[in-house]
Amino acid sequence: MSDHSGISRRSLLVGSGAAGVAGASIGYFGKKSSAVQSMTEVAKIGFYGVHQSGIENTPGLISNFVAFDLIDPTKANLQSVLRLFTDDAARLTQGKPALADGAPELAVNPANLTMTLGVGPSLFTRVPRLPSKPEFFNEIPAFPNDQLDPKWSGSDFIIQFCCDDSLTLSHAVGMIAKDLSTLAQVRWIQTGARSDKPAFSGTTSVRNLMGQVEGSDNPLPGNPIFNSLVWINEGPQWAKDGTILILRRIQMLMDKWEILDRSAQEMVIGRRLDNGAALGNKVENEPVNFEATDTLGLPLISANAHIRLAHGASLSERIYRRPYNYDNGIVDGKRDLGLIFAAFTSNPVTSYLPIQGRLAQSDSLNKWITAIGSSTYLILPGCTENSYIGETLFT
Amino acid sequence: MRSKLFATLALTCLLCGFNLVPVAADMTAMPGAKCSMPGMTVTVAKLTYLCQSKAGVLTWSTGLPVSKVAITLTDGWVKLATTGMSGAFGIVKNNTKNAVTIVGVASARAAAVQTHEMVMKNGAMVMQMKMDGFTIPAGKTLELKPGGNHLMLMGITKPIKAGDYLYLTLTTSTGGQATVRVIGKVFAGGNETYDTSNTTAMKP
Repeated sequence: MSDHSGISRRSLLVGSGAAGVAGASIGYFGKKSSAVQSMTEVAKIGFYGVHQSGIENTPGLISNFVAFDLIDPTKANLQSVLRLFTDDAARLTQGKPALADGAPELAVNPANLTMTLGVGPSLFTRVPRLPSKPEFFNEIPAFPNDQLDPKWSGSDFIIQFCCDDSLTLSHAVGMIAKDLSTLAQVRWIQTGARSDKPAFSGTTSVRNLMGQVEGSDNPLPGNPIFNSLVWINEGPQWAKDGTILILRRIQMLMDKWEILDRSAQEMVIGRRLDNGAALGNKVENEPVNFEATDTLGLPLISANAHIRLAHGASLSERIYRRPYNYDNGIVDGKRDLGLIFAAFTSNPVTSYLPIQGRLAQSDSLNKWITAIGSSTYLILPGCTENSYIGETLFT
Repeated sequence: MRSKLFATLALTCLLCGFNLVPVAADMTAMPGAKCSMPGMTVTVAKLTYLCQSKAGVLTWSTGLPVSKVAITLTDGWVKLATTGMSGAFGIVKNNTKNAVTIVGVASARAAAVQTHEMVMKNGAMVMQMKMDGFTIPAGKTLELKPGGNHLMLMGITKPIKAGDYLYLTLTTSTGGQATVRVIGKVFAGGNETYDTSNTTAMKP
């Protein structure tokens, strides 16, 4: 964190049209070249609203996806979980200690903390007398090349924590885990990190650990296309203004990937690695011409290139990607790393499933990546100060 | 107004000398009659009777007409408990233009609720009943916290679970009442138990 340039990552991103940012326009790394930072510049993201935070705003640099199962799956216990979550999140995201906070000093720097809760399909079979879930919300089926490990897959509910400060993040996760300890047990935690800077100035794209650009052609938060692609607007009323999170843990087979030369790596994706431009284009965010050919008449973007298959066949076939990287270091002599693919959609049946169906079938990239975890959650709508997240399930 | 439960739960506090839960006699309030637990309130026919201490003698007050009083409690929480006792905390604000004294607290989830304070005695912090209640100056706040002033719930009637809402009715010396909400929270500290083998110091 030795950025003393005076230009914050956030001001760059806010300037790019991320209109959904609820606060946090202050570059808290400081404007002066000094080791002493002011505590008065507090970067925080509002908690209350129509939608939960942690989706539209610029992602925090680090994340914890914490999956929980209810110990005794009753409606009353679920309600208690949601009340406690809301009370804690409303405070911790604003730099205030939780109630009965054992270490209130660790809460004072919110560092753009967001806490976002989603419920899994299993909740609706386990907890009696809940309202029915939307028809389009179901477990994601395993795709042909998946090697899903239960230790990274599925749970009754999830809390996504995103933050710019590891101490703040640890405190928030610990506080929630303690508060929910009599009601729910943690099934797994996925920790992730993102680059401090976008891949290119004025975009929301970031690099992944293969060096590829993630997030090209993402719908931009705040605009009408984003709203219709991301926020639920059909099905049961309780889910309206929520969204569906697709969370996949994708292992990267780096040893094999690095055997490829650079042009082959670019062919696999269909984009240049340096500037992110689709092959045949000059810059990242130009519309992709899938018909472009080289001098021999061969397609510049091959039939099995990742971006060709990922490209939506219709306008509704788009998702909002908000990924993180994971890196467990060296395990048994091999690098253990990959992508926490986190994407949001208002309807996975019409968006994610067809996209992933094509990718699973014939994406060139499949030789170098393997999905080892897969989950889906319905991120509940936001709430006002006088209610709690998920109250709509009980009314 | 009588309850078998109260009669069987009657316990005496070794520190403060008063009953931790009301004895059966307390449940029939008669102005001027003796009562056993200061802070105990009984409301009959829109009149509230307070068990008050005057010159060391506990007697029921005259009936005070119940009215709403502008006392609020924010950041309210209560420590989980399955039986016995628990502590409730938060920030009480007096929104009126006069000083207010909270002399009684009641909850459907406890046989009785007492106002307690922590004081230094013989070099150790000990908990004792706040005989004359909590007085809050006009417009000011009172913080109730583990290790400090707090509300003590006696004779928990139903386990207090994480995320439960409990409602407490605060009664002032003039008969004003305010109902406030607290939420059940996991908390390892605040083990404010009356222990016969440890008659003076409370563990921090």
